[in-house]
Amino acid sequence: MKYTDEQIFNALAPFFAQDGMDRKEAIAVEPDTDIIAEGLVDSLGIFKLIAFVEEAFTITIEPDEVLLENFQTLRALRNLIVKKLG
Amino acid sequence: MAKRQAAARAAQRSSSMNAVPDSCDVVVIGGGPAGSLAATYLTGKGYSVVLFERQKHPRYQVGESLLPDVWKYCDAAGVSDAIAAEGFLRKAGGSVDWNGEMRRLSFGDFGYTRPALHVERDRFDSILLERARASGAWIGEEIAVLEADLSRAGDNESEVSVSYRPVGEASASRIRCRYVVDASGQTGVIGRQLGLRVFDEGFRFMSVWGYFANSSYLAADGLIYPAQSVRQVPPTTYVSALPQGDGWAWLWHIMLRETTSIGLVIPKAWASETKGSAESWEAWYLKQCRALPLLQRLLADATFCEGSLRLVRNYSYRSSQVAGPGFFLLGDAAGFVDPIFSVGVVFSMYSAYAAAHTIDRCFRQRARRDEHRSIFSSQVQARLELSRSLALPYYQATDAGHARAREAMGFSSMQAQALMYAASLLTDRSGNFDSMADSPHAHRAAAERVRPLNIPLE
Repeated sequence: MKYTDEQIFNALAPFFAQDGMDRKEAIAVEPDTDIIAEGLVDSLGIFKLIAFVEEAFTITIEPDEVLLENFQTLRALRNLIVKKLG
Repeated sequence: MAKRQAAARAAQRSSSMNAVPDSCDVVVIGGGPAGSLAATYLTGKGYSVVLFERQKHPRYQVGESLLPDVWKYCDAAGVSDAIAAEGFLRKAGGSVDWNGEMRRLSFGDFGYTRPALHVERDRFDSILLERARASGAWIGEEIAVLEADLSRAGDNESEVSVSYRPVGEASASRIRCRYVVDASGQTGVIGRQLGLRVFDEGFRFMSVWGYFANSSYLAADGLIYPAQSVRQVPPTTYVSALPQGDGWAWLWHIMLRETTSIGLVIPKAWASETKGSAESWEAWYLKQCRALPLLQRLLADATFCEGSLRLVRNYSYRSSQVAGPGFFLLGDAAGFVDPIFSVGVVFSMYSAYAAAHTIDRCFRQRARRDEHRSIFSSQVQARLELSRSLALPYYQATDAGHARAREAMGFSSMQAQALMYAASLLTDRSGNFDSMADSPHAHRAAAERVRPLNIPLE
């Protein structure tokens, strides 16, 4: 299955709609927002994000792919997803 | 799933009849925060859980200072309301006296909206265990786990058999399960059985602590308040380096609702150098408490609670493996460091969440068990290595360990990095932080938020 970038970003958006992060104001998640530095994905969220991406795109993420460079932004995640769907 | 729920109900029924079930999905060893939360998360996902606790709750436990991060794990376990209702003291931040530099920080300045806490751990841990029980986990108190047979854990149907013995009984029994979660704290049932524990021989330390009534305390505004104000004006955790401690020996002062916990964490050699052979530990402890001008001032109207002195000899340690076929290690069972930054309970809760998530993934995708476990291991080891790098002075990581710690730091938010940096700055351990983070933002944020403490000590 081929996805456009927009489809990928839209599919990832619901993950960040959830509440529960300890912060005062909401942050808009742009493709280049640093989701780690902004605290949108924390050490606990990374587990959920991996499962979410695997299910949404029917891919498997390998242990050695769980790196900051693959998870820091939605664009980085998009690159990983596209590569896995390759 | 229906089968699992039926099994969960069966486990619950036998709980009310008091007989330990013959089998379940997951056995949890230990009823501290890691074990209770792991059990709660797993029952919430529909698995049958049997939790064994060697002692009977409420039971004493040290480690009373909790960071605001605990709330998200409590939220996930549905236990935050019960904890809030208990009325534990809210902690506003930290006050640090380190080699003559007195500084303070407030969690509010770092953007945390929920409070840190000072908790009586017997109460706190009981609330978490009761939550696990209410969630449907079978709780067996005063039952010791002896060992786990993991020889068939790698089979297609992961099969583990756990041997246990009720306290006071002569004979052991066995329970079958798919996974065993070791949250047995420093006992480390599985880690010791498999020889996974790696001690830091260079970091042998002792903790000596006791309780005082009517101690004054430092609040986030840098002022001293009397004990009676503690519910109106939230206390800070006060930490001080001990003289000639080489940056290693330090003291905590933690206000609780009725008493104040004061403890010394010291290298073993420091204790033998400063304590006379005829001197009692209590006399030595009280002498140390009086030797610090600021503490002396806080204790001006305080009285020592007779008989409250406790002492443990400790190593810091990690585990060569935190998971393997059929087992997961959590919290102190996985690793333990100098408790200076209060990360112990947060790490326990984090590893409980990670294990429950991973076990669920392993049940759902049996063919990918090894990969799921591997992600658990690398994340938990990285987090542990980060705690070690921050908390152990003069810490020399192996290259692999250093890379892991850097990765965990990279996966931390700016808010968390700024707080870690500020804490390390206050205690003169910021060199460790700098070796792991290339983070001018964290430096700036921390520097702006660390304030001087100006207390006239006449």
